[in-house]
Amino acid sequence: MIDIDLQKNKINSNTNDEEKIIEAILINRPYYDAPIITSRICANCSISHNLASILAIENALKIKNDRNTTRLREILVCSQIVPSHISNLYSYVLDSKNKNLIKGKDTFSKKITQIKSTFDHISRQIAGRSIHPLTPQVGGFTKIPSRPELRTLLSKLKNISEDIIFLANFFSSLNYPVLSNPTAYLSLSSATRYPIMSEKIELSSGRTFSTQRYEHNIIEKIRTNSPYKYATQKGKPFMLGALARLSINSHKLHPIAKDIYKRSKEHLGNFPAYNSFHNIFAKSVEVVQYYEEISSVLKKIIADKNYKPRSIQKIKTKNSTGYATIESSHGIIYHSYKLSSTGKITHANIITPTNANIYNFESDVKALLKQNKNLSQKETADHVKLLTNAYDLCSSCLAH
Amino acid sequence: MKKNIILFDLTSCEGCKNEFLRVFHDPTFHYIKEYFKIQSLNILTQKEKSSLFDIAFISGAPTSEKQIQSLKQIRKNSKNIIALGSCASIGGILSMPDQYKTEEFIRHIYGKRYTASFIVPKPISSYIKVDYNLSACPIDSLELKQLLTDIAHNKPLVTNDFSVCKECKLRGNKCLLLSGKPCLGPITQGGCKAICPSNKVSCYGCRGLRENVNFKAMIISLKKHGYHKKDIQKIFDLFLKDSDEYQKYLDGKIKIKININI
Repeated sequence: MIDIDLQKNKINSNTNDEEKIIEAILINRPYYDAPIITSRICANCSISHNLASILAIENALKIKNDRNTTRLREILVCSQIVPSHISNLYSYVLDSKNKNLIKGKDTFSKKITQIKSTFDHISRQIAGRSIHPLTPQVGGFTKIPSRPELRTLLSKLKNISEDIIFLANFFSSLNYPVLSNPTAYLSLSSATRYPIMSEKIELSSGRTFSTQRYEHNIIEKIRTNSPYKYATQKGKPFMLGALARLSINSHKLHPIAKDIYKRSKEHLGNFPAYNSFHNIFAKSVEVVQYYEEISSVLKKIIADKNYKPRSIQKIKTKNSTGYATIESSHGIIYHSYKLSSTGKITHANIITPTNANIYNFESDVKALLKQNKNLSQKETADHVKLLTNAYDLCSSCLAH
Repeated sequence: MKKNIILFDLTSCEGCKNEFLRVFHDPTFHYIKEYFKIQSLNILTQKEKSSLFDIAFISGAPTSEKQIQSLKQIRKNSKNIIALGSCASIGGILSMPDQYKTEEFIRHIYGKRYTASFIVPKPISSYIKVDYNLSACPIDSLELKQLLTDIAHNKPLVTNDFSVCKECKLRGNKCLLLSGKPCLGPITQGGCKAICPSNKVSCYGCRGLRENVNFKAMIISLKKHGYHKKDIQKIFDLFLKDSDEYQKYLDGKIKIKININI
């Protein structure tokens, strides 16, 4: 829940969430506890936090995995992003009192339940559980689906393809309130693929930096009256998540997603237009993108003769530092750990996407008020509520 | 007449709250809405403070004085309290730190200028009377559906009378404890279908200890597999830090003596 106090142009966003001090809880815990603990930062992003911990520790201990371990992890990230996006899209459109949605609410609700349950099944089949994963570990998986089980997942995905495309077309065709507030967008960056996991970060300006330099580029500020940290880039707010990813990586979309993107962005006029309401448009494109990505990766694993159960690698601990960045529905999650020679965590730093987005949100609310002065008080409140929905700030991640 | 329910979420990952709402709004479980009307909150407004509830489901754990006061208010206003999830039932992950180290922790994360309201949480039963605990991290949707169905039909709520091992054996799993892994299945409350051991992950006790458990035997088992006191502490600290039996063991009130015959 976000509680906004609009008084004399002073924005004070308060989620009423209290600090969980997870970074402190991690100190002196063995490295293998980090994925278990950090997945409990937030149920919505638990897979991304769990995998970020694993990747950061593998980075520290120089552990390399086979390509199918990486592929299964990528599928897990995507399988969490899609249902999160769909829930957000649905609640945004409900709040905007869209007549078409309200008329067809039962049909939408059935399609959404079916889609969410399919992706939930995919996460469970690979991770053992969709919230607070079990099978992903430092050095591999405790258990992996069999090839027939993966084929079943692929066919379940095919069954919902029509519904996903229908929903994406609907959600990507909405109109949005006026807002233009230039900001920096950041996303993970790969040579040819739309972002999921990577050790490189790209800005909308074209500049890039490595995961290892994340804390040099992203500085967290503290306010004495708030348990949240506010992430800044060159002292200013910036944005992570679907809109940021799409603005930077639209040329890397899979075919169906690219088609929806090209057709639908016509009515937006300019894109990117630095209108954060377009986060909704971006999410509707990403729903198809990540659906196509999961299908594509599943096919690669199924066709790979080397796909077979492997034991978790033997781990040699040492004094080391590791870093990892991974995408979640809200944007880049960053984890870094220092480990002792016996594998105890001596320092941890976690930066969640909402640490950045809440600061950008405040900046957007100020701009929204300035650019919509002709609205009544009720209309203004409705616009701010819609913007809150468009951002889908994750208060649990924020108060880690 | 519909039962008036409140779902109150304290400090948490929101997993139990989200699962509850997902189950409640599941189209295949729609008939449950004939029995309950529900509000979901994380702060109490004046309206709730003057309302009466048949059942309050509490998820998360209280990490501030303000949340403890909210708990007490809800207790006054509710006929029944159900603790939902490990955080509310047994303290969970959030209750891991030591209270005396909390200020050091806060300074470590936020720096000296920040004044925190953080209190290391205990299970909500430490602050108010709780009528039923459903401890799991996260809660399982089938178990929740069973609970809501039982409440809807005014059935008495019972605690499972078996450990995780029963369901683990029924699923044909190879015993992790016997192969030297620190699995707490023998002393943990069953009902989760042994989901962790079935995925080759040791049970870490998120459902809480069974009643009248043979704690001493568990410790002896772990020690026989080479786990020393510090390792055992790390294992139990994750979810079971607040349990009476574990506290007695730490205080030296449970004497363990092992004879190893070579």
